This record gives sequence, C-alpha cells and structure tokens, in this order.
Amino acid sequence: MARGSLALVLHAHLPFVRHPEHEDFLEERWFYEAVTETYVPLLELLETLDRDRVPCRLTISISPTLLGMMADRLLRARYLRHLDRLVELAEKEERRTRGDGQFHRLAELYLARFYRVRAIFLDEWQQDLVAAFRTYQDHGLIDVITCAATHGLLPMLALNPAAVRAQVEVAAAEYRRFFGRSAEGFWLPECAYEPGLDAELARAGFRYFFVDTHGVAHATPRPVYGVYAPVVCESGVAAFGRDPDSSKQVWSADEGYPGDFWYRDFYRDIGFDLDYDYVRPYLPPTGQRIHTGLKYYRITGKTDRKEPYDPERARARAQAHADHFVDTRLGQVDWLARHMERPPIVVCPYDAELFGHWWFEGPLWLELVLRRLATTPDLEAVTPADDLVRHPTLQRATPAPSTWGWRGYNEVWLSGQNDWIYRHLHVTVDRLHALCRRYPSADERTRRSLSQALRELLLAQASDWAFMMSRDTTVEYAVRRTKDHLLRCQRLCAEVEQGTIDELRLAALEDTDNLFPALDYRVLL
Amino acid sequence: MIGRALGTGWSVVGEWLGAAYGGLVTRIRTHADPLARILGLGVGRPDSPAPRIPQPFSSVPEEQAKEAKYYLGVEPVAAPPPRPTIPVALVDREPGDLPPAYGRDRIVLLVRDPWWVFAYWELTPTSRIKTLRALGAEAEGAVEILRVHDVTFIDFTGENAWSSFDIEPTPGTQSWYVNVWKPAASYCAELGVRTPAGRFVPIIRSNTVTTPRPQPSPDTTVRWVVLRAHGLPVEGGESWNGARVEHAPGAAAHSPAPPGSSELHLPRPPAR
Repeated sequence: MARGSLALVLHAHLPFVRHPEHEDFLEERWFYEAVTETYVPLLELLETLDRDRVPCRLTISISPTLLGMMADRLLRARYLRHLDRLVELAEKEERRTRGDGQFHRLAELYLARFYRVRAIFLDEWQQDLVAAFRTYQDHGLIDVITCAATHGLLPMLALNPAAVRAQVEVAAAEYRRFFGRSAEGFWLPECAYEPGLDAELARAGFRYFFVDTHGVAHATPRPVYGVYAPVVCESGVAAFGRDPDSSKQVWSADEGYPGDFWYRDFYRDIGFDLDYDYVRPYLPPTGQRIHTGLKYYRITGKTDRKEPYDPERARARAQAHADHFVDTRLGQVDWLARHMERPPIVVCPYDAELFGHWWFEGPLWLELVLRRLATTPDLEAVTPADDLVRHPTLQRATPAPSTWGWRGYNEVWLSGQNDWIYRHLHVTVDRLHALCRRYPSADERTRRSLSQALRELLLAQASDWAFMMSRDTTVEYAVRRTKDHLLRCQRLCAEVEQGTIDELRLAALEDTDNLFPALDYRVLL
Repeated sequence: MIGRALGTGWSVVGEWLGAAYGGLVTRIRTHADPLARILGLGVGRPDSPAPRIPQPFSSVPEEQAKEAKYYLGVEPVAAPPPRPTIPVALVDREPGDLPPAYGRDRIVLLVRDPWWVFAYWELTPTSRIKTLRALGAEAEGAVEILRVHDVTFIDFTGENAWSSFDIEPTPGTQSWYVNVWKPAASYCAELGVRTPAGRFVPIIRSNTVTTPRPQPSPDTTVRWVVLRAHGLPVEGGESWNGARVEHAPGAAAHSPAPPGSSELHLPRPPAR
C-alpha cells in the first residue's frame, strides 16, 4: 500500500464572454487561447496516458460558464476561424524562417502544434470538448467536479442565502446536464470559504470542497493532521486544504518551475516582434498589436536580451522538474506518514490555465509527473473522492474563513477599486428574490423574463469582474459587464413588476446572454 | 516556512502594485522592433535589444497565472469602442448607468480580512429628516455617526455589546473601511446621529459579521466521525479512537501568526 496520496487538482475557469453582436470581439480570445494552449493539450495528455494505459487520477474542476462556452455553437465556429488563422500565420512563419536554423524549427513546432490542436478539436471530438472530458471521466482517468455557476465569490453574496443557493444549485444542475450524473466535489471560487457555505453544498448533494492552507490550519477545533487529511464540517461535507510546499513549487514564477530560464518566455510574441503590415491580418480589427501565441524565445534570465527557445532543453528541464516534484512529495509523505495514523494526502490545486497558457511546458510536466507516479508505489495519485472512500473517518472541524487570493482573505475582491459593486449586487438579488417569491408559478412570458433576469444577475456576480478591476486589467470591460448585467436584470424586474414585458427585447437578451439554457427562476424561491 | 516566505512576498507586492498602477501604459510596447523593420521581416536576433514589453503581472504567483488568462498583450490604440457589427436583434451595451440610490435604508458589513470590515449604506432623505425632526432642538449640530459594536457571542439587542466605537464618516460618503483590531470576533454597525450633548440615535442597523481567525485555534478537542455515502456522518470511528492523536505533533500551542500566515500544525519535513 502506498505511503501517501497525491491529489492533483486543476481548476479550469473563464468568465462567460460571448458577443454575438460583434463579428470579432477581443476578449473572446481569452477562451480561444485557453482552448489552444490549455484545454486541448490537457486532452492530448489524457489521450496519451489512456493509450499507453498509464494509470491516472486527476481532478479537474470545469466551471459552468466554461462548460457553457465549450458547448456554444457560435463560440465553436469562431474558435475554428481563429484557429485557422493561427494555422495560416504559422504556415507563413514556416516559409518566412526557412534558412534560419534557429527559428525555422520553432516555426515548424508551432505549425505542427496547431495542426494537432485542430485535429483533436475537430476530427477527434467534433468540436465537443465537454464530450471529450466526459469520455476521460468515464475511462476513469479524471474526476470532473464543478464550481459556482458563474464563479461568484460566495462569502460576498452570502448576505442573501438565496444568492448562494442559486450559484450552487445552478452549478449542480448544469453538471448533471453535461455529465449525466452528480458531481461529488465543488470548487469554491477563489477557495473562498466562510462557515455556513458548506451547508449549502451539503443541501445540493456535494461531498467535499477545497480551501487554502490556512483555511484548514486555522480551523476550529485545530486539525491534528494539518492539511494532510481532510476535515469534515458539521454539515457532513469534507474540506481538503492546499499543501503550501507543492503549490509554491509550481505556482511561483520566480522560485517555482515555470520561471526556469530554459522554459519559453510568455511575453515575447511575434505580434509585437514582427513588422506591423506582416502581422496586421492576425490582429483585431482595431489594429492593436496583440499576442498571437507564436513566441520564439526562452525566459533566459532577468534580462531583456532573450535567447531563442530550445525545445529539447526545455523538455529535459520539464523531466527534471517532474522528478523533483515527485521526489519531494515522496520525502514529504514519508515524513508525514511516520507521524500520522492514516496515509497523508497532499492536495495540489492549480489554475488549469497555468498549464500551457502561462507555463508552456506545463502539460508536458504534468504528463511526466503522472507517468512517474504510475511507477512509484509509495505515492499514489488519487482524487479527493477516492480518499474519502478509503478513509471515511475524519476529524470534525470548521475551516476558517479564507481565500487563496492575495493576503489570503477577500481583499482582492473588496478594495477601493471594486467595492462599489456590492451595493448594486445585493440590492438587485433582494429585488429579484422577492419578485420570484411572488410567482410560485408563472405564465410562459413571466417565467422567461424572471429566468433571464436571474441569468443576468448570475453573470453580474462573477468574481472575475472584481478581480480585473483590482488588478487593473481590462477594467473598462469588467465595469461594463458588471453594469450591463445588473441593468438588464433590473430592467427585467421592472418589466415583470409593471406587467410590461418587452418580448422582442427579452428574446434578444436570451440570444445574447444564452448560457444555462435549462435555468429556471424557481431555483431562487 | 511558507508563512514567512509569503510574508516576504507580500511586503514587496505593495511597492510593486504602486509601480504597476502607473505602469499600465508602460507595460505595452508601442513600436515595432526597428531592426525587424530594417531587415525585412527578420525575427530579432538573440543579441538584439529585446522589445520593451514590461511584465505587468502581480508578483503573487497565483495571480500571475490568473492575470495571464486575461492578458492579450494589447497595445493601446486610441480606438473607439467597437460598435455592433451584426445587424440582428441582439443586445449591445446598456444605455444609462446604475442608480446612485435605491430608496431603501440599509447598512451592510462585509469582511475584508481579520482586521478590516467594509461598511456601505444608503440612508434615505426621508429617514434622515424624520430622525432630525424627532430630535427637535437637539438636532442643531448633530452629526452622522457610524457606531461599530463588538457583539462576539452576543445576540445583539442594541444595548449589550462588549464594546463600541464611533466613526464620523466624511459627510456625503456612503461607505467606510473599519479597522476592527480584533480578529475572530463578531461585529455589527449602526448608522445614526449623535447630538452635541453626546446622545446617539441609531437609524439603521447592519448585519452581523465574524472576522476570520488568523492563527490556529486554541480549541484542541478531537472528535472523529465516519462519513457515510448518504446522510450525515456518524460520531466515532473504529479505526481511530483519538487516543494517540492527543500526542500528535502540533498539539503544542502556537504563537499568533503574522497577517495571512499559513502556520501549519505539523512541523515541516526536513528540506531535501
């Protein structure tokens, strides 16, 4: 029997960004880039492990907004258009760099990469990424879990428990719709926990969630095993705490693996490096220079003089880092097991988009870690659900309020840049909640209006907008999204209150903000 | 220790954020690589000066990756916001702005961290005038006050707080960050007016919030339960009775940790 377990958890999430009213919308590229650089490479990794019959247990949380985007026909078609242009650019690059030994092989590498992504997306999975993840879940390689409906920061919404309930129950329902069964695990957005949220999770049938290290370390009563065993809340839902050491090794750009000088540099991109007229066809209609995804340099060091990327050296570093990661975990569990009466579990949660998008070699590293684990009897890859089945005896404790954001609490989402949103979010949820309670049943038009109002409210609650405002990235867009969804919700409420539903506009809103097609406002009752 | 390491990270992040704040513009490169232009389409050579694309991300590791999700490396161009390009019945930007007030008296507390809570409120002119009228002559010179009560373990009645303190918000303001000093405590706030004679008349009362405990709990009780596939866990466990656990590492008392520290109970394994 293994000395200890390792739970690798990837949290995949993007806010719902879909603008059918624009032919080409810049922020939709977040999704396209993540598909090319993270989601498809993850599927490729799973395919390889499946084919080679390498035992693999990986937990992937896919947020309901991301599921919605993966399933959306318009975004699929637009992604394909985006990918085709990327292939075209890579083909041009392959021709342009002929005769240049250093860069030509890199151009070839990208071209091969994009061809492969296209084959996986289009030929192997017929554009249905959700089906792909579902298949690997059915094959037993991954355990897909869910997250709050639109990634709302639940402690900030808990003033009205109905708001939390809607975020949780809509997520549970969407998961059932896509995966045909119930999810056992729930990723709390930003690992934001406060006592009481677990009861809402229990109510919706979830069995476990994750908190940051100090959430378990500062739990009441004090957990005897720290973060190396889950604790169970009064509601019966288990909480797994993040292992700080393995987090840092992977997350940190300075001290962690992704900052290695042989790895590919994220910032140098031909969208900026090459002649404007040459890259112009691949830039947005406004003509702004942007990242294209073709990046030829390695991190090199803390210098502006970057050297060309060397894929073989990078691969060797990924192997070394995978070995180091597993060896360090082995040392960790070996030491922990001597002090514990159950095998320790080391929980390593990461943002999925770290792998591939931010850390180009991340998916390779992950594959090498999983392969190494498969041949390491003392350390076993597990999912939290596996662990609960094997070790159902847990210490009773209530985790401390915490998040995995900067400084460990709510400051990222509650600061001078974004605190103004909460008075509007709270008053709007109260208004819609009161209105829905007046309609235990409703005619078709009212039902559609109230459901769309809830959709808009959920979209406004996404933690991403507050995050962007506080981090000074795409602030204008984040403010716009917050206000637009709140205004739409408020207007729909007013229409229902006054009996003046504008059906044309309602239909247009349903087409524009079209996620959660099965949503029913009665979840808010 | 991770706590210490993170602490160091956080101390630099403040400075960095300051720099980054003004640095939004400098994060973007505004010129094409001149060498590339001269040479036709050549990729900049390794020894050529790199284009200046300052790295804009937070020095908090998790947030670097998170910010990278939203980073498209966009060069700022004074471009008008895109207009709808598809002439169908779809919805674009909403006209107008959110209402400045909702006509509902309310004060809300939100927890920011163990030492700070955020209060926002709306006090309708009607309620304010009604209160001032009721005060009669005392209303002369009365000021609006935010009174914060420590109501830890108390069912607050308005009279029985452990302690309270007053904040005089800048006139016209509708929110305030309150330094509450004591973590792992419960707070409730009232917005009201205070007369020159010192009489406080509350008008609206907030929800009660509890700040996080930033250190390990002093409660070392150990209760084991057994999870079941359905329903609530049952008390006790056959495999562990907790007897040995009392001697588990980490039972020793811990000193309070610095803000946000992630002190673990188990001693760290030796570095390899």
